[in-house]
Amino acid sequence: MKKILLVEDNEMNRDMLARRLQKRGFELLLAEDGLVAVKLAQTDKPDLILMDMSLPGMDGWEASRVLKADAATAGIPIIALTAHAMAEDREKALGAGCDEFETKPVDLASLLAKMATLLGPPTA
Amino acid sequence: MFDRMPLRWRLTLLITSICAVTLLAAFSGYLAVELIKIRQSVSERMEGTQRLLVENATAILSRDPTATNFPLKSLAADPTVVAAAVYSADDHLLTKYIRTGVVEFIPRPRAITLNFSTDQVVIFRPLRYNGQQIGTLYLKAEFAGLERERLLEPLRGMAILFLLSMLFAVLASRFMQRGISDPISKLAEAARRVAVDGDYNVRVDSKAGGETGVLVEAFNSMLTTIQQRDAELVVAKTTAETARERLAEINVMLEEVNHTLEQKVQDRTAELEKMMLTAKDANQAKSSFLAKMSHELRTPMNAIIGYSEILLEDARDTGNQSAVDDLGKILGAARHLLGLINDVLDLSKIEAGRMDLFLENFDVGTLVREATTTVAPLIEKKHNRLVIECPANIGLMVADTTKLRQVLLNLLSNASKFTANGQITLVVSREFAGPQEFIFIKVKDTGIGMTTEQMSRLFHTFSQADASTTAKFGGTGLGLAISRQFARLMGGDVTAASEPGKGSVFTVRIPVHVAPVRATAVPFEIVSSRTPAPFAMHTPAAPPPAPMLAAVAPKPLTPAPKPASATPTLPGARVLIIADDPTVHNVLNQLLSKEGYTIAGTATSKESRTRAKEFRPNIIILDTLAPEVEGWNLLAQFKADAELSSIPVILLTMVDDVKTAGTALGAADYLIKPVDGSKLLPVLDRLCAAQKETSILVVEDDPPTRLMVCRLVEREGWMAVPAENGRRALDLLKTFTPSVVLLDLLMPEVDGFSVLREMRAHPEWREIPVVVLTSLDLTGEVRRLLQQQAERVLQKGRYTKEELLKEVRDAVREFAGRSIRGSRPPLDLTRMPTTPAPQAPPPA
Repeated sequence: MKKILLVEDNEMNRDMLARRLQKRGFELLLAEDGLVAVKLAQTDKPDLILMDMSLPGMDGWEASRVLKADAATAGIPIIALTAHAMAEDREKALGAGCDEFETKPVDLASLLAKMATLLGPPTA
Repeated sequence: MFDRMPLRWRLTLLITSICAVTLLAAFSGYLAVELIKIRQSVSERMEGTQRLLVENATAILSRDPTATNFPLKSLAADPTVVAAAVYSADDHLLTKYIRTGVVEFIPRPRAITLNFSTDQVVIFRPLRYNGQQIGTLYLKAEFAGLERERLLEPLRGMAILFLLSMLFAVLASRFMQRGISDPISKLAEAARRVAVDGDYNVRVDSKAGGETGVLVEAFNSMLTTIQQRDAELVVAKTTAETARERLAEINVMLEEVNHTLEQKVQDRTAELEKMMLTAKDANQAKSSFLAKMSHELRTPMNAIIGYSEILLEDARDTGNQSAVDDLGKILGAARHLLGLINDVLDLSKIEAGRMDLFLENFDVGTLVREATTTVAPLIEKKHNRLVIECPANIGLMVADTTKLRQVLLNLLSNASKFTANGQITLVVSREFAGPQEFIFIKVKDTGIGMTTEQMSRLFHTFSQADASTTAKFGGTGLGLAISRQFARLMGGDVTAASEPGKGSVFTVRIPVHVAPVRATAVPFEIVSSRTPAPFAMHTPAAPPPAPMLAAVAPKPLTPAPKPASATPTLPGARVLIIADDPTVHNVLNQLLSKEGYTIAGTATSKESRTRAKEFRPNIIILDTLAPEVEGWNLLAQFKADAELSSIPVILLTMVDDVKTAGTALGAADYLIKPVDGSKLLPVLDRLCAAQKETSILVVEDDPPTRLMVCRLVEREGWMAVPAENGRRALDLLKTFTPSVVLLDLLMPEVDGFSVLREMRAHPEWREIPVVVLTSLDLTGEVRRLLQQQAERVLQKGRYTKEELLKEVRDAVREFAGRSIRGSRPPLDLTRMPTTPAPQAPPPA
């Protein structure tokens, strides 16, 4: 079972996306802000991180940079989730080290496709 | 010494000297002659004496050679003879005579001699007898005394004569030289005064003739000439001085004018900059507000869509079909709303100039395939067939792939939306248009097509072919507008061709190499072309291909919108311009005559009142710049004159603080200079409208609707006074009483409900008939309330354009003439909604 770290400060969005992903057989780790996300990533080693960009405290861009700078977590793919459907935000997210980009509200099919690409073929 | 003497002395001296010399010469000559004469007479006498002596002596000696008895004593009678002697032949002194009292030596006889010295004569004379010397006679005479005596007498006379002559000469010279020296002296004195005192007024008064006269005359005339020159010089100098002073004054004035002008230019520039900044800020604020709102709206949308999907999945899993249907509708509506929000965000970004291009090199074929794959389900849903004509070697292009994909998707989904059981053809080509190479993408359909009228509104925001289209076909109505803006941003365009019933062709063309364009504010075209575009502040850094972007190039600042009518409100309305500045007359003449006003002008003076009475203007424009007090006085006079007091006066002023004073004195309005048409014409229109019998206040925030209603009203021969919102309407009501108010309900600032409330609470406005024109779907309660307060409530959505026009016309006709109405029930403010909830959009 793939372990997904979902970083999202909005409780509703977090709950909704978590439920939908759990339903599709993912194990979910939840974080409300960048700092918790970085700690969880370091201790629990998720297979993939879904990172909201606008977060309180340490934001998604900063958290992505920290994760990508740490050899222990650099290998974990990150999909940036942002409400700003702007190309510049995508560039900014990719610049921070994110591997993919998904605009909110999340189109689940599109997100699942991107996750599948980044996670590779199912191992277990 | 002589040189330094005054001329008169010199002349006197000269004459006197000449006189003296002449006299002396004459006297000397006379004396010389006299002396010679004396000498001759002495000599002659001596000769006689001698001869006598010789005869006597000879006679005596001849008789006695030794005789001594010579009668020498007789010689005493002759005073000149000093001595005499007779010598014998052997030179023995025989006798001698010596005058008494004289010591005289008798010399020895010498040869015969006559010795004449200056004052004495000595004669030795041999005495001969028969040829033999018998003796010698000696005689010595002196005549010095004689001469002195004889000369002294005339000399005395001469001296007296000389003195007299000299005296006469001096006197005569003094008299005679006056004719010569006096004028010269005067000349000299005059010259001295001229030279030393610089007094050119002196004139030499002389009647002298000859050269002196000429000299004096010449001198005088020279002085006169100099004086004239001096006078001319003084005049010239004064003139020059005056001119210099005037010049200095003018310079100062010029400087002031310059300064004022500079100040004005600066003020205007600052004002304009401020306006532009305000406009820019407002635009930016609006856009960032929209962007923020879109963002804020997305978060709940995210939840709605997400949970709907979860529930839908659950419902499907449990096989609850009715829940699946309902949840499907919720999801559809939510997605539609999301689409709207996304489009609004796009628009706000385009409008704010924050839409950037991300240029990438990509394969056109791939993009086309992706897009067609995405829309394939849509196309299949309506049983359409998709034909793609794309050359395999279409190649790469440099453009914003996301935006181009969005454009393509929009066109394809539109085509499938309006086509059923037909064919949608996608033709991709690479062609040159001018020097530039373009990718052309044509989307053809065999759908319902469009009329020309529909086509004209095609690319406008929130405008589908028909209001009902949205309900029937879905979509936000923003897609085409956004597509066109995206295409234009990339230096291309989207165009359309269509025929009703035969389908449409949309053509996208994008340069193969899109030039990077900095964020550009693209003004949106709103349905009414008369409405000026929003201020566009940015200019593209790299000029995009001219023909392609011409339509979206930032438009220059356009003047404020002209009033609805091009002709004046009151045809041929007379305007009297009272101003001292000719420029004001010129400017206003040009401005107003063009608008069809009849104009007369006068300066601020006593005659302006007479002029006003003759001309009977509908409106007076009074420039208060010219001595302001006069302007005020004049205004007061006009208002005090029964004949003129009803004519509205517009004050033109340089300062802002005249409003109170001006209105207190009865001015209808005031304008701050510089005045342009955009400011003046609406005021004139309004004041003219107030004079017309039937005037309709059209309160409507939507420019096209306002314009349309104004036109309609004017076509009926009534005066339309437009107001763009409720606040403006209330302001206008303070200035005139319209026959009817046509009132929209939903407006910014102050809405129609508030206007109605205000009007009914105001004693003077209570009786003005109001026709409500609204697009709101009113609830029965609100409608009933409105009908109590307004004469008629017309709902825009319920009528076709023609029907609505007819309703408005009828309503206005009915109420325009009405002046007395029945009492109106009091308005129940509590039951009147301030912001009515608009009707919910139909589900997609």
